Amino acid sequence: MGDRRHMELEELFRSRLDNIEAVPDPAVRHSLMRKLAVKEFLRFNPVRFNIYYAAGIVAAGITAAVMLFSHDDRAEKSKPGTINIKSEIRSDTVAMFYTPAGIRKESQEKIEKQRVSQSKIRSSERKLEVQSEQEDKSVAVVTSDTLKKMEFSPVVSDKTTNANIRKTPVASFKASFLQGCMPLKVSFYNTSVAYDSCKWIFGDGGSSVSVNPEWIYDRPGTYRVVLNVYGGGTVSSATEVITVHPKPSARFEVEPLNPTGGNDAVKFINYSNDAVRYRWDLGDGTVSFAFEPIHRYDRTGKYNIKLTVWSEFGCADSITVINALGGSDYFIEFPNAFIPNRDGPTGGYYSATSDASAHIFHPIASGVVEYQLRIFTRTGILIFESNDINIGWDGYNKGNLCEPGVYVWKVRVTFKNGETYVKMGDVTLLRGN
Amino acid sequence: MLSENEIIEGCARHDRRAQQMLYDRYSRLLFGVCMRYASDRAEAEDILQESFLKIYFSIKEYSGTGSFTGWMRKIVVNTAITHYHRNLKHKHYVEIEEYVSVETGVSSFEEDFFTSDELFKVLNELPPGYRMVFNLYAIEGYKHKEIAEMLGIDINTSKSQYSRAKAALREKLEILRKLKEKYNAEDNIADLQK
Repeated sequence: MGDRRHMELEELFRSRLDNIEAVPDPAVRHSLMRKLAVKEFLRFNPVRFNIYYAAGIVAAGITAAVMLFSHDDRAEKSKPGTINIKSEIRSDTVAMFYTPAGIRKESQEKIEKQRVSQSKIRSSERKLEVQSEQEDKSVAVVTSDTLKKMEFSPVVSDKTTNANIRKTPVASFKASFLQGCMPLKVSFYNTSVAYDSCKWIFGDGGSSVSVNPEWIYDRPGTYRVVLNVYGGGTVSSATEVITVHPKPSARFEVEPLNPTGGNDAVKFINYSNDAVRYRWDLGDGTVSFAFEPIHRYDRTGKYNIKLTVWSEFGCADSITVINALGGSDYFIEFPNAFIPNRDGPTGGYYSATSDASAHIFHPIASGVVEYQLRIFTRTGILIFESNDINIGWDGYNKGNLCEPGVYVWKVRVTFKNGETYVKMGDVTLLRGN
Repeated sequence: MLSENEIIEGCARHDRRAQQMLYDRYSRLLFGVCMRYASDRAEAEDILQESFLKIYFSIKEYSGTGSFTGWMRKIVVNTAITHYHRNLKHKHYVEIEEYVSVETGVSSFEEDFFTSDELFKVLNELPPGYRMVFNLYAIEGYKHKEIAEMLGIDINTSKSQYSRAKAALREKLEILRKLKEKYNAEDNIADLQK
């Protein structure tokens, strides 16, 4: 214990966090590289200009070919028999790219067969040969060499399959929390690919169509979040389960409410729900982790008592009761301003109802047995003294209304429990109308 | 594996492989920095991405004097500050109740008592303004004058936020320490009873 090194707060944080490493989500790398590519592309660079120029021409060529083909495609749809084959290919291709490797090979073989039949149907269409070759190459990159064998025959439908690969959405997302305490705010990040629109169903009746929504679960429970992404006429879904733990509630009572300093042990009665750990700040610097602590205060006074509770899931709740002890029986408080009655000295007698317009400077107090109030000018001259708590200062000195301004008061009281209390402060005498 | 210099040169040529290698080699360290400044992981990832784009496009400006990591860190910190300003309007609140009476007087801490994760979490719980100043002053080692300029705040604000940040951290650590000690003690008792 003793030989452990002690350090300052700054040093502690610097030494431990300066070179801390954290692993970013792999998706960040992916999206960074994509952004980088886009940015570099947009940035004009004479060295690479030729490449882009060439790429642009090729892209333009492909676009033109796509338009030509889609026109052709529409014409062909009127022919019976073609549509069936096509839709089959479409679904197989989807499976090929987004299913585990085992199934992949099988579907490729299927496609191969279909492509042969397809190419027979279309072999007469020589005008699209150039474009088809291009398409074949791009497919061959992603698929395996089984497809390369097909290069000898121009396969027109490759156009559609290729377009579909890009257009088929695959849903996936990340949530900032999979579990947490109520109310739980969860940020969802849509990591789906190739989709046009999306819909989130949060499982608690809520939904959203934003890409990366945030959602607050304000009830405990287990929620199944579904993300549907739409694109190219198909739907893909991803789900995740979010668990929201209930919040414990911190409740307590104090007994007795008005302990007399040092003699009475104060018992804290714990009414908290769903909690397993407790922390009590008893207001005088004492901290307790007991379920129901018992504490003796050295002196009476106003203590702010804070109870923090944690549930088994680490969810916390706290409650602070201000002036939980001694507040009601033994206290004295003064206002900081008053407006004397200009009609003349009143003698300073007041009661709670008679001084509603604050003509008299007097405290509100409880449990006072001895009392002395003195008022001084700012230069220190005593202008008023009262030994009766029922007599306050009316703002007059020897029959004359005092000047508006700041006056200093000093009070000495003894409470019923024998405790003596001295307090000073200032009060502003305001000019009445 | 390429050396640091080769990576830098590669990145200057916009060589994709070097760029990827730069990311693979430094992203964890820089993400650690991002996490210290950001309010959550998503923000940290945004900062990381923006920082890397800046690094890639301004790598030619790296003079070669001073540490390369330090240069990248500076970019990350500046990006984090930009982010902080951008998000300021959403975050303009401080939980007053939590940070009123805070000087607890504990001034030194055992080096190994808290795990880095715990320290990290405590730091992350600070309100954004406090966290920025504490990060910049205590960890990055900037002067209050520099921080005031960077964040566009008064130098005294920087100082007072720093001391409040410290006080808040102390209090949080103290609470954590007591909790930990209590659980350690309970564990020990449980061990003895076995």
